[in-house]
Amino acid sequence: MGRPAVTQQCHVLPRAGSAPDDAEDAVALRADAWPVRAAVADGATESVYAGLWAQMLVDVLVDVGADPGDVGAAIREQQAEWGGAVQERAAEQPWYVQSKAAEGAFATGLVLSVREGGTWAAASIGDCALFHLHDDRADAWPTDDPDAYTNRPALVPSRGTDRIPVPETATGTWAPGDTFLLATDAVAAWLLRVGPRSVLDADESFEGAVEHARAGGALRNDDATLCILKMEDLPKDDTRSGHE
Amino acid sequence: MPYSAEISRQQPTAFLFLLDQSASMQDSFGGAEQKGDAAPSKARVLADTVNRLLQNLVLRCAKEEGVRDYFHVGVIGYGERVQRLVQPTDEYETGTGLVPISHLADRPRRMEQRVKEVADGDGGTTEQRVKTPIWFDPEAKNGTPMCQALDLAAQTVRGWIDEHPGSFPPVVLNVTDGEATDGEPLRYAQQLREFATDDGETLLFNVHLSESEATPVELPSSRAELPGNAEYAETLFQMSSRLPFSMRSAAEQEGYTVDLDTRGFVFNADPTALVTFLEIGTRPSNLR
Repeated sequence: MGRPAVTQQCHVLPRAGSAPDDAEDAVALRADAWPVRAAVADGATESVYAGLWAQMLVDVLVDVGADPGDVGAAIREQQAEWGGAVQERAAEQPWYVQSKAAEGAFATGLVLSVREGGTWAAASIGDCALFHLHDDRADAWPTDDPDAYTNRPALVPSRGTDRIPVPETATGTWAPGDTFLLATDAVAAWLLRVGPRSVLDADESFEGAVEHARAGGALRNDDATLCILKMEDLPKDDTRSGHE
Repeated sequence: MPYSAEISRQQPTAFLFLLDQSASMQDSFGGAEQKGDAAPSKARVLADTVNRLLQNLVLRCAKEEGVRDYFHVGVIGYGERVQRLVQPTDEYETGTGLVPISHLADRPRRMEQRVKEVADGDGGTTEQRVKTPIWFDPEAKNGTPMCQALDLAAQTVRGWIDEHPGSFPPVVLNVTDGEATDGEPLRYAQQLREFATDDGETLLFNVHLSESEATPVELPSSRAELPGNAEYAETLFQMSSRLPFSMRSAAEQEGYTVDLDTRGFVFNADPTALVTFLEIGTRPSNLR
């Protein structure tokens, strides 16, 4: 079994006016073996330690892949981890951090698993998005309607006493030369409006494109996350990566 | 579009609570005494409600690294005297009398242990001890100097607006159980509402606490919805601002029918109507 030939590039940008550490989106990748997996998550701003929960979510999603049963079981395990991690951190904090930590954190999340044989599978809770660019097409999942991003999404709770929504799933086939994009909600709505290729083919950096789109009102001022996986024609010795 | 300014740490908004502390606030809510209930006083219910609301405002802004100053907050009591019930320390003195929410979060008057029912994950509930912040205690003496309170509110929002001209405008929430004893409040209310940011005029909402068992009149759109024999209800109705878009949405989520003329006003409110309205009135727009 050959090593995957993937060119990857992932960006996590905080909302304008915030410090880089304020970003509560998270991304994780596993591209050194088949199946290649990538996950994005968006921690809900209203909760505390949401960035931590988003990171714990993507870490476990790239481990387990897109089988909905596995995803549910892995989230339950991660909830137990989260409780311990946060209790310790919050114990020394003021009343409002303790009080809010007790309510738990929430995040949306999406995982993509690309198999060597030419098939892929994805699972999602909430409104992160997957784009599959192949031939002249750009297929969006779970929706191709940018206006759908105004609704309240389903959320993965960090607290074991809260119900975990059932993940939505999708499957498909791929061929060398195809590109997959994973995005959190604000970027997804923007890409649906302008077309994902216009962003990929632009001369400017993703960071520059985001800045311009925000200034022009085309992109909502929210954390902006995009993960690009290009399935190459030939196996390569190494992969290129960037993480901002 | 007015009342659409994004609320951020760079561009916060302000909430100012005006709380009636007159002698009649010692009485319980309308109907409770007649039923022989050992009901708490209106002053007690109001202090508990506003302390809890301040707690919720803090929690809306709380992140693990601290409380983000999306809101500046003030509480003015009016009864024996007109007084600020939360005071900034010198360090946070902005000259307006409004306190950044992070400052409020870090300096409650005291913390009390309360027992709270929480879900146990198996469909039942379990009791949990939680620390509850208290910023001020109930008080009920003398008359109802509402005009003075509205005047102090006007000075407060004027100073704050000078410093935050682009912000979502201040929201003033006045809770009373009686008529003003120091003049005609409508004039003061109109004066207060004229102070505006680039995003709109100051919003003034009024909640009248019940004296009788009559059903509350919540969020009326026209005078026709008010009780026929209460001139005082008409005055409070006229004093009250129309709800902006975001708060109309919040009201609809709570099950109310609203239109463009819906006023931020509740007449004859019971404790439930009071809590619900204060929740709606503190939902200005999305935080960033």
